[in-house]
Amino acid sequence: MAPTWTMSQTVAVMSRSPALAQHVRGSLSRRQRCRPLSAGKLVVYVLAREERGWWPDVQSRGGGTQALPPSNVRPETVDFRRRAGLSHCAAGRLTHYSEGVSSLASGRAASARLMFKYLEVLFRYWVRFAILCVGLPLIAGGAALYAFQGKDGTAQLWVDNPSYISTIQTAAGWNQYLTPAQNTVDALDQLILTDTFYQQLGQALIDTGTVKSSSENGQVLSDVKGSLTATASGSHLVTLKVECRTVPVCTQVLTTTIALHRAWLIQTEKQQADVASQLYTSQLQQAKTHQQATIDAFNVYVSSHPYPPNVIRPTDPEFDRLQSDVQQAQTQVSDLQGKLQGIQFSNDAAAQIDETALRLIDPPTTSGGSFTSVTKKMAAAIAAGAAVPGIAYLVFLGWIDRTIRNPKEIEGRIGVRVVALIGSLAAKPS
Amino acid sequence: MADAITEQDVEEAVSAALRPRPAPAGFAAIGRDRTKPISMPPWFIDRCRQAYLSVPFGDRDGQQERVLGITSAVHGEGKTSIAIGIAVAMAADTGEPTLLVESDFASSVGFDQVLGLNRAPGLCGWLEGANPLRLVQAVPLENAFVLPAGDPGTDPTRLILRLTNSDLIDKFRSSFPNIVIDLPPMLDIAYSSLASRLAERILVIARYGRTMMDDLEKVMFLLGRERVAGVVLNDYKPKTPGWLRRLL
Repeated sequence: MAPTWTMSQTVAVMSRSPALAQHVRGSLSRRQRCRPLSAGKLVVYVLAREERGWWPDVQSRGGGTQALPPSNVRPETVDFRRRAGLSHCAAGRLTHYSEGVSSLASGRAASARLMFKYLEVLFRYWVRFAILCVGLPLIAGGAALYAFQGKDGTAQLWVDNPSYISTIQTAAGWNQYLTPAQNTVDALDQLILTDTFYQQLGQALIDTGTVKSSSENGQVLSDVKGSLTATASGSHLVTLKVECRTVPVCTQVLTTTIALHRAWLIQTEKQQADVASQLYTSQLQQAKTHQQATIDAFNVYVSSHPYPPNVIRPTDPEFDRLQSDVQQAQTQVSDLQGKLQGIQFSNDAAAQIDETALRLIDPPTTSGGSFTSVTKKMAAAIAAGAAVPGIAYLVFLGWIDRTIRNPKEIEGRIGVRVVALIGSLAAKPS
Repeated sequence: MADAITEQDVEEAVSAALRPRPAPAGFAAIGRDRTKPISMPPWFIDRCRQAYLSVPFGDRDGQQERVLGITSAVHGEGKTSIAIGIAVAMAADTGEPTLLVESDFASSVGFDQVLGLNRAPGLCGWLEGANPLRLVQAVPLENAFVLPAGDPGTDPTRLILRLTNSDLIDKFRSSFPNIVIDLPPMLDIAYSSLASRLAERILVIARYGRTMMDDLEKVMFLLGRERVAGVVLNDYKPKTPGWLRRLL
């Protein structure tokens, strides 16, 4: 049943039936021989070329391996099916196809062609892009590194255990199993995690005129948050480090950090002393009341059991008990009074104690010219920004270049095979 | 003159080209009209061979009819060079008489310049009845011949129309199994669609980095995709490294 029609459109028969495929293949003349486009269960054959003018419709639909809806199957296709004796393939799908559309059906192929296009532009003008995308960012980044060289601020503290003062066994919040330096570092690490610390630091920077505006203050605090560290350099030596943009900022940050830490220590100790003082005052009051009661009881007993003076009182258990009670009450009052005095002294002298226990060995010093993390971040950002013009130029060149550079693009868009690639006659091709 | 196109003219020209009369004894042989030696790099001929071998030629009486038109979107895309290369490859491969016809009358770089010929007489003059048909042997091949365009005068469209209405190509077919027609570029020349009727199978030449994709689409529209046997991408010099292209 050899068909005698003249095809003017691309038609594909999609069928899962090998027998049908064989029938289609065998029924075509040599010019119209079918060509399998894809393997797998679905057999697709192109029987002839597409109709002129209809091609863009197919292409705009995304085409490819998806069949058009039945409503889009043109009458000539149905007519073809009848004339080809393929009416029995109703269970399968009969639709228009395009060689080109089929070959570039997937979005992957389209994106690969687009990538090829931009790569071609990139390599074609590689000198320009080397300058724009590599040279310029390097220069800009280098300039940024030079211009925004960071400053490293350092200060060292000597921390003593304040237990040499008899009233204070350990400093507030200290772990007795850690060295003074470790305890201080622990406290500092926690302190610099708090928002209050940065609020106070920011306020101090503004008050001292180190920063001029709130935005600058925000930048400085942002830098400090990532760079302020406290490390124990020995059992008693604590090193504070910070990276800043300017010397005054570094100095001020370290000074303020030490001051805030000291103030926090003093405040903590005072608060604890206040609590202890209140406790001891209450206990002392009770002890005094008890003392007075024992004295009164002793006096009542002596009054009710008079005895001439200068005569040794015979053994009297009750008398001895009352006398002992009075002595114990007096001792307790005396003990509590001593403790209360110690607490009050500690409270009054907390500032002096912490001044002594937390001594500044090396005041904040600043070394400049280093590439701090802040500097590196800024340089990276500026270098990335400097690469933007190069990328924009690449996109622009790729956009305006509508010439043919990729054989696959021809096959994809035009739907005609590229049968040969011929190099330039002026140069031997690779 | 249209009536000047006669079968006898064609036969005489073909006979003179293919079967030159030997010089009588005692007389010096009259030299055939020849081109200057065609000198093309072997790799170029090989790529042209690859192009023509990809073309599905039709059959007539059980024999392949190799009539191939070469066109492009605009001038300067290497159409003429590739046409010559394909003709050379065909002649060398088949050993059969091969004819290269110049129908691009408006080309600034015609066969006369490329092959070192006198511009006239040529096909145009023959179509006007001004001169006999002139077939020039393409040196160094013995079986390759060139039909130069000649001087088209002021009305090339009329000549092309006369050529397409004639059965000149059909007449050549009996003597030249291989015919390569250098067609005018489709978008540059108004009569190019007319000229494209001379060949059943057409190769479209596109030049890397020069031919616009939109132009190529227009060419396909004008020719009809069923007649285009393929596209030859000329002057292909991709800058992307090969390994990267293979990845894509």
